[in-house]
Amino acid sequence: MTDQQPPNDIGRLYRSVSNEAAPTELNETILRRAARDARRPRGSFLGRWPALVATSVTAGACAVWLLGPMHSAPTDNAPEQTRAVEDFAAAAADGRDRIREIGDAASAQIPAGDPSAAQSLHCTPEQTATLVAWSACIAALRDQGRDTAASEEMQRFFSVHGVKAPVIE
Amino acid sequence: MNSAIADGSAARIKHKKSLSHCALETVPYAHRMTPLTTDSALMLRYRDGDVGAFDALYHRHNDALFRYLLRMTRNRAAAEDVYQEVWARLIKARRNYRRTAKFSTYLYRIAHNCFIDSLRRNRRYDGGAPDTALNVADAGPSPEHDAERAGMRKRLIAALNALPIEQRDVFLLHEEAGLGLEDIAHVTGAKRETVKSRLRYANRKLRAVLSAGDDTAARALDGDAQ
Repeated sequence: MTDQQPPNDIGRLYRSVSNEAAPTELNETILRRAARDARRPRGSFLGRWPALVATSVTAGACAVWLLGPMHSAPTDNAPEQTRAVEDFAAAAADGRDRIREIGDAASAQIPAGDPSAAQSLHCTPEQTATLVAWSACIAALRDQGRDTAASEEMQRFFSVHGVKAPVIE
Repeated sequence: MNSAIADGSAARIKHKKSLSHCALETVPYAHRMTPLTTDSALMLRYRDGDVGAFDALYHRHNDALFRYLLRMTRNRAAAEDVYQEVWARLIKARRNYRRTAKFSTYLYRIAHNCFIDSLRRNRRYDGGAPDTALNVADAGPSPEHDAERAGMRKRLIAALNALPIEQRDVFLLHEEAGLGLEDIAHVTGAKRETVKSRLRYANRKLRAVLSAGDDTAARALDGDAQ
């Protein structure tokens, strides 16, 4: 099959006079775009299905956010649940040092002295207002050897939040 | 001449049916195309993240593609818009690129579809007066100092602008893209014999204009095309 037309004078003439070039700024724009696109990863599941993954993650997060409080709904009057959850997230971000710092402060507020009196001590409402402060208070009680009080506080923490207080080493 | 016009109308209808938008995720004729070419190899390398391969590929085709769109749109601003869109589509589609199609056919099919889409969106360069700057625009060193040659160029471009869009398309795909009849048929969605006929008409009209030696023939062609 002769796919190509025989050479013709008009075609030759046209090619000899048609010499416009693509604008330089467009060349630069397109090459930059191509380079930017090439840097993106390809072939992975995450690369090929970003929308699906994003949707799944968002749905999962929403489910946890909604079902978590329902599951751990306190039977008594819970101290500002929303604020506690926010603080817990903040504490996770800050790390254990921050929790230890709060624990030291909580420890200073727990009076030493008579062990029997100490056993009856519990974390103050101010300390139980947030997950971080409450956890630090429990840790401080344990550090001071007040195991009964620490266990009671841990039970109370569990009944309110549905999870155990994080252990602070 | 009448058959050419009728031929063009039929093709225009076919375009509307077959070219839904400026995309090429599916290339139905891919299995019939020639296999791997060097261009295709570059495109595959770019698909796998080699930016240098795209650079090389781009500089092989950029000017010819730009001229194709410039002549098709007859408007520099419109040509630049479509030109960017074509490359953006190509870059976006790189992940799905398979070496089943001859690259230039692949590229010009995108360009053709993008042009048709832009034509539908904006009729400013269809039937309107061509951008007059295009007749004198020139880039780089060339024998344009020769007055006779400059005049010939002006007549040729004017005559090309006056061709029916389907004939202009076929002529440019042949001369700028270097595509054969079969490939042009794939790009435009027309039958091979139709393409051959359009190319013959286009050549004949352009030759007539240049033989006339003045703009009279171009004006006559312009009237023909309406």
